[in-house]
Amino acid sequence: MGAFGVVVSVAAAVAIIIRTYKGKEHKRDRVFALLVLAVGTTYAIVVYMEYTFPNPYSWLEYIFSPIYRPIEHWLESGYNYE
Amino acid sequence: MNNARITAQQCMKLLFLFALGSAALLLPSMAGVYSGQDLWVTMLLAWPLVAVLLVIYNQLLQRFPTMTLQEYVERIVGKWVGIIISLSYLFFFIMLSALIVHNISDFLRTSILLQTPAWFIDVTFILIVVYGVALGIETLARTGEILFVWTLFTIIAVAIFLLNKIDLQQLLPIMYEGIARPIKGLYPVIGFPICEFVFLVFVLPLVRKEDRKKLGKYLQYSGILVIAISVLLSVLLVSVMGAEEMIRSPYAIYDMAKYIDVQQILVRVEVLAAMIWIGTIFIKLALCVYVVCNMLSRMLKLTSYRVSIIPICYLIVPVSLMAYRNTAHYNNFASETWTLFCALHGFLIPLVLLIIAAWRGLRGEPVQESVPAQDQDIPGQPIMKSPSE
Repeated sequence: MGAFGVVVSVAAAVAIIIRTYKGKEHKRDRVFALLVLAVGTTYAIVVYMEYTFPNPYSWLEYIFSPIYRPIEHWLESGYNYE
Repeated sequence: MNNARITAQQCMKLLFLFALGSAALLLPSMAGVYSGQDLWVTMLLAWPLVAVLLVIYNQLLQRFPTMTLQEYVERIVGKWVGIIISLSYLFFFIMLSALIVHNISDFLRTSILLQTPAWFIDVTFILIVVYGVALGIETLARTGEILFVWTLFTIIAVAIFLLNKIDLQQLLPIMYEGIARPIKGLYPVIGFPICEFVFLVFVLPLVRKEDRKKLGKYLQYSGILVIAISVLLSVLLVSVMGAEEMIRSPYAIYDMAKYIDVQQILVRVEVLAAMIWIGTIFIKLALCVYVVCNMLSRMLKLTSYRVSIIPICYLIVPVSLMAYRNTAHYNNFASETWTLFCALHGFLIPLVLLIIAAWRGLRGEPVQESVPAQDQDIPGQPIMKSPSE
């Protein structure tokens, strides 16, 4: 996704949120929606710039690898690969 | 006002489409690595697991008829542990949604739209999902009813058109290394898609009061239908393509549909299978996004779940783009780590919650005709809380 795409999509998302949820009674909605959007924008910039950034899937692999090792041993056992 | 209610039949069809979703296309090669030509035995062995899981979810619903998991978890295990578990589920569904988006773009880029960048496919697909989720669960359920018929029709049509290509000898020998190989093949199936059925604990409270008694029965029917279709597809895959080719093919069912050749009149209908698969994956993704948005809006006390649809989808797309390094990484992750992560959320936590709730004799409020809290959607009106909270 090009820089133009990121900027346009973020601008469109912000505009939709602010326009749809305007007024004092929706202030909380707007703030939290924009906060979540900011997290998404950060990830979009990271993907575009190809930075190294925390990848949640790598966390999962790291956390579950001690449990998976014995299972992997069992799954791979008993096969003749020749 | 959005008086969102779905019927037990609609719920059954949603479960069927969710189960078929991305699993139908990706699972055969993942499970086939372990079970080989005994893939259909693996699918049969999955039936008791599906049945048990659906019983657990239904029992939780019977105990807390008007509450989703996010609501009763705080009553069962306390506020802070409950919040941690809720956050964990939020993370789980965001990860699942990103995986689904990645699957669809990966499939389209390798099979049909070879030159199209992944982000374009992701954004295009997610825009449809944003629209679908914004329309609400009732609209999704009605869409599911239409897709259910077309999906069944397509699967049966594919099976009929492939009759002249079937070689049952390829299914032999059956269980030549005993039951061990089919049981090993069950490992990826547990995570993908069986334990992903946990979305039901967030959707079942939306089933209308009159249908609650027969809900358990319909869920089991859906489970049986899913297993029956899986066995049928497994038999077709192995007998048409052979186990070796099935394992090598990343999208085995799509590749199997390429074999259709009826007197050289009906050929190249694999896109039909792909279209149905895109439809089922839309339902799966829309349900996941719906659950995420509902959880987030309840957690942050927003006035409507619709507020969070665009931000959540904006988060899902970049996460899906950075999810995997390559296809090998994806295969490893989906058939190894994902199963454990999924079993934790889909089986272990609901089971422990049910046991603790039964032990402590905890029960929610009985079903009333009021609108469920998560679908209150009057601008400016706070989310209605159940009296037990």
